[in-house]
Amino acid sequence: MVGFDRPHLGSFVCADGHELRITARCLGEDLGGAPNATFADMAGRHGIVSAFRRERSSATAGPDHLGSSRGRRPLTVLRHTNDWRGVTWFDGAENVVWLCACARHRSGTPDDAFPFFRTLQDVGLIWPTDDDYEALAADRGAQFAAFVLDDAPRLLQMARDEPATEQVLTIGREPVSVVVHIVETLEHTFVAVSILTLTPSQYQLLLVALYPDRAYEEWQYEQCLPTRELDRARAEYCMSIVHG
Amino acid sequence: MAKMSALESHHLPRLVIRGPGTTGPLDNVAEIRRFRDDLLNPSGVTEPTALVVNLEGRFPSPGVLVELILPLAQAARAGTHGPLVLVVCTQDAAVQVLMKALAETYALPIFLASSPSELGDAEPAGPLTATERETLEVLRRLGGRATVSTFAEATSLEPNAATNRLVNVVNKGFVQRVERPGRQGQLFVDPRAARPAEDPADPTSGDFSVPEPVRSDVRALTEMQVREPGPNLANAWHEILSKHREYFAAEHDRLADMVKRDDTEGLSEAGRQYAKKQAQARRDPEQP
Repeated sequence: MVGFDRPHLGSFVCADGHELRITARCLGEDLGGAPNATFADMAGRHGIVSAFRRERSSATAGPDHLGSSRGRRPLTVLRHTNDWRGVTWFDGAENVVWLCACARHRSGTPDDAFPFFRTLQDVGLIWPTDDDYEALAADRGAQFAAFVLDDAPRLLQMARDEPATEQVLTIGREPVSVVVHIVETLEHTFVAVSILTLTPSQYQLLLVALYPDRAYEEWQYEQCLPTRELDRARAEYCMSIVHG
Repeated sequence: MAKMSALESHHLPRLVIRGPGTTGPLDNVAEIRRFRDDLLNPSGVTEPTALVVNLEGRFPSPGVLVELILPLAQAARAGTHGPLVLVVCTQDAAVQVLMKALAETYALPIFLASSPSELGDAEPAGPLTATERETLEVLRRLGGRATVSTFAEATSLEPNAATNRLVNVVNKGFVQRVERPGRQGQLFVDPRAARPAEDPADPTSGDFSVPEPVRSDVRALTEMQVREPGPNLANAWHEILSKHREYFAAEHDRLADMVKRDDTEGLSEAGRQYAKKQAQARRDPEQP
């Protein structure tokens, strides 16, 4: 669990774990934002984005659907004052609510938001693209790199403070388990992490952040933690290092 | 076929794209026969492979078409050249009609696509029942790879029924089966998920400077994270770290140096290094 709401690069990370993001098309075309604009910038500039943050940080969908609510990808309506409307889609696989489009609401006029949303939906331009998913993965990678340097040493200290007891801290999106086993004057540190979403580079960042002065060859593969078996269904992977 | 690891199996099927040397009308039967005979090594292929015959911009006469496709598809069905599936790319509606007629008449496993870039949406031609077509569609939705258990889960079938469904399309030559050791389970692969054996260097990707063999294995790994996120993933992770140990040792030193220099931009770049691969692996086959 993340624990508290916070913006990070193109995302707003909500306390219950899901993220809010704006598709690149919506950001550039509907909101006039630069491609690298952060979520916090956009929320400061546009009421509809702050409404997105307010309405979707505790619920991933709104009550009113655009079109059928039974579609494979249900779009729900977002409101800001009488004048602005948006549509959002919750991508459960990635745990992200996307702001897919927004526009001024002028009931009955040809440039009203709703005909615009339906046109985008009809031509398939309303959904996040491969570039949006690449930006999401890049932001998550950058977020992992930003947090691991502080969080990994903190986790190691927690494990040193309570030897032979598993300590767990979520870094990025995956919980990392560390057990320090004291053997005479040496500490034998076991690190287990689910590699369901990590990349090899992020995994190496974790090892480096724990022991920056030790070489990769000094890490050994382990079949289990000293305290328990690995959770194979969650693809947990464990390595250890002896430190004197 | 030799058994292969989970990571190796996620490199499959291989993609081979070939096209006659000239565009425009193709009516020289002797010439097309030479082209056909040169298409594959005499020893054939040893790993599941999709052979894409690209007829885009070419207009073969019926005689040329039969001479080119019929022996290839018959050999593919018989396994003469190894585990091979034939995909024909053409935008010519008449050629498509002829291909479907050939496939139906001779019970041949052929896929038809408009172009090699639309391989994922290739249409199976040949005598398939409605259930078999549905099996292929489910497999395509699963990203072109499934074990019996993932297929059973996707279709809410019992494992025995799922096995029967998959084996039927394997027997008709539309799907390929990969043996894997131990409890990893057989993998069923859809030739429409084929890709080149090598991972092409992409200057817009964060992993541009990573050696190709590592890049290619990371590509397979990120796909496993999406398609097979169970115990086999940890085995594949171990395999990749062991296989490229020297590369990862050097990379570890580079990252440690960045930490000591407080190079936050470099570290952030490392965190983002495989973002493009992650996005590609997570691509939804149903995405419009």
